[in-house]
Amino acid sequence: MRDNVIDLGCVAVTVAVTVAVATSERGAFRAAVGVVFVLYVPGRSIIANWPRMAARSNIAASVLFSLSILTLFATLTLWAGYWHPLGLLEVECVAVGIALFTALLRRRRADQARAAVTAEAESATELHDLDS
Amino acid sequence: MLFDREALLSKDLLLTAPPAEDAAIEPPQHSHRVLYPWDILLPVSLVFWALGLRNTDVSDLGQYGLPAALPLVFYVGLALLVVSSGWALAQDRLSPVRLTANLGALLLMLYGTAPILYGAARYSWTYKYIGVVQYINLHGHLNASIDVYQNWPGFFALAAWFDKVVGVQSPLAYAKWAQLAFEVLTCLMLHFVFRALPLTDRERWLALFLYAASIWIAQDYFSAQALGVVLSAGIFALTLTFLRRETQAKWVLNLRRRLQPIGRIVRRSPETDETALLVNRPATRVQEGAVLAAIGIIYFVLVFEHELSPYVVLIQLGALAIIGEVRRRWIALLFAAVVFGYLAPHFDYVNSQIGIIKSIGDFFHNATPPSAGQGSVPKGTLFSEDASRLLSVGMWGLSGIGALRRWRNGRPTLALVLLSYSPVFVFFAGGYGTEGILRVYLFSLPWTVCLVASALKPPAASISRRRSLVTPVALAVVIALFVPAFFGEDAVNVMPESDVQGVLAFYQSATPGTIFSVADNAPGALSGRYNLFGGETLYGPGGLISGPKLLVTNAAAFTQVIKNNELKRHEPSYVLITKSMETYGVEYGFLSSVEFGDLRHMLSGAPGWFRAYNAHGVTAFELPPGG
Repeated sequence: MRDNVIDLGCVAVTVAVTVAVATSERGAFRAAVGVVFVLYVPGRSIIANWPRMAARSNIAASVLFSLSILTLFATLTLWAGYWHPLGLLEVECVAVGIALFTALLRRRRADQARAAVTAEAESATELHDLDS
Repeated sequence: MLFDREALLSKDLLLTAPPAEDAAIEPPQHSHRVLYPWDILLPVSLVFWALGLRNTDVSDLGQYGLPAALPLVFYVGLALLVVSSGWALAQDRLSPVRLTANLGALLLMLYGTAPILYGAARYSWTYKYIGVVQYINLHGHLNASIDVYQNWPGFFALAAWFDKVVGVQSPLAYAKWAQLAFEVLTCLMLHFVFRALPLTDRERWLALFLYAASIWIAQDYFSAQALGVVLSAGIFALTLTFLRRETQAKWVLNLRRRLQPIGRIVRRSPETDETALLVNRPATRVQEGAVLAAIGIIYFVLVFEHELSPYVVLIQLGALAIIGEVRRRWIALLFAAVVFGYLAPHFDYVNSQIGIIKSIGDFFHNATPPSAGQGSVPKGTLFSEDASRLLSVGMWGLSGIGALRRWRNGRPTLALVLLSYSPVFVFFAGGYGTEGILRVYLFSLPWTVCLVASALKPPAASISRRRSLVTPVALAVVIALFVPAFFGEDAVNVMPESDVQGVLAFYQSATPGTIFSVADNAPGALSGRYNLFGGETLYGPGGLISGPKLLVTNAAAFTQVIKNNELKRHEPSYVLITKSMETYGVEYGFLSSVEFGDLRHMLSGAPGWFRAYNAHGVTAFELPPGG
């Protein structure tokens, strides 16, 4: 539940950044969502699909991965002679969105599978009780 | 048995290492209250701190810098926070929320004070980093022949991209907040790292507080180094969390066996193996591969992000690999291949700039601490230097005691000792001049504070009320040394906002040429056109003009000096005068206010010279080519 809320929050931040940039908003709102996005969201999209890492550290690992990935991509585009910061942001937002939705879906499927197993186990117990 | 191994395993998912001694006498846990009367201390301390800031006048800082200008109420706020933190650390049951709030308040008070009080980022050297970011924003590409920063562009690319995302024209909009932001990020990473170290929870939190209060060297400003520290800590967090071995290398175990007779004499308790409890083996090869790939990618980013950090990480990780503290020891070799592979094509340029080959083996020169010099150094600066030296020596000294104490108590010590002291190998080939010692302190401190925490060994107040006072007392001493060390030279380090605006406007409008700064203390090279201007300093340390004849009234002789040192003959020369230069000249006694006035007067009427720029308190006199 908590993870789902965090991931949905990250999706909201990603959408907010995209809208703020697309509308050329130049205020505190863009700065705030921009900072949250840069420091947390790309890393969270990785951690959300890596439960073992998330179990160790949610915030610190997300920040670490965010800063590393964004530095890597910004520098690669610079080296490649393709410096389009906002184009890069769009690509990153799409990738982040896909990763976050994948995490949400995986978690939902895992929950459903767990619920199915529990229901099966309960019905098996009931049958066993009836037999005995 | 000293601790309940099963309980630890199940309760804290191995995140909490067993305490060496305290666990045996840990008091029973009482019912957990949400708030205590002492919790009022934290908000009250923040109120006092805010009142202190409100009543601080920074328009004319004296030779003792900001500490002398801060009112008593500011220090009362700081003292209350120390008591509050000490109380939070002395609880039977540590509250992460309470401790995080106290740590956050400490970071805010120490690193948020300057950006709140000053209009622009401190330190003249911050601004050259802004220039590189603006170069990328202006041109959209790099030019590796300009300077070393363009050869290690990671941080600058990230900052340039960030500016576009948040919609600001330049890092000037937020650079003054960089110290607070980077320290918060570093503490966040260290919290991750410390959970992978064989420390008690109380030691971990104390280490975090000590780190926040003792990193006086100010390498956390808007720079590649600051991000490098965050990434370095992250690499160790992942490595020590996921790649730790259950036992150390065979040769270390053999050595330990041979030294056992000595150990039996000095040790107080049998050896415990806290490290084994921290081992967190990834479930599958795929997962381990993912961890290795993540560490490799982050290290690669660090390699092109900063020139020095990856080498220090390599030294520290190499040391851990040698003693067998980490699995997949080949990762150190991989790191070496990556970092030297990146250096190879850049080596000639870097060597010509910072003289790497010349510095190899020059251990003692590389280890020389920076000094304000032998001339007329303000008493405040000397006091600040003394405080910083005392703090550094004190931390290293206490870490030695902590290491000894851990060893005597049979706790894992070797890895922490190597992490703390191995950065001194930078002295063998640093090429960083007198900054080498600062870098060593920087990379040593995250581990040094762990040993210091072990030396202080804070108990819960219910175990020993007297010994629990050690924590706030130690924190108070550290902060008392930190404040003059960090803020003591602010009379010179503060860059007036008007200077920043004036110099920026000059850089954006002037014809390319050579800039002769009257003193080496101004927010220079902060524009994307910085590469079009050469730079020289006229007066003070490293200046072209020294001695009794300062040439502030002899226009002909002064012009001759300028002509002799022009970097490009067909371009104009400028003499730049700012308020920050004047403050520096007056504070260090190499140019008085009267002499600054004479210089301005002389250049106003000197043949060939004219006033090219005069706004925001910044004046630039121009000597046209062939003038």
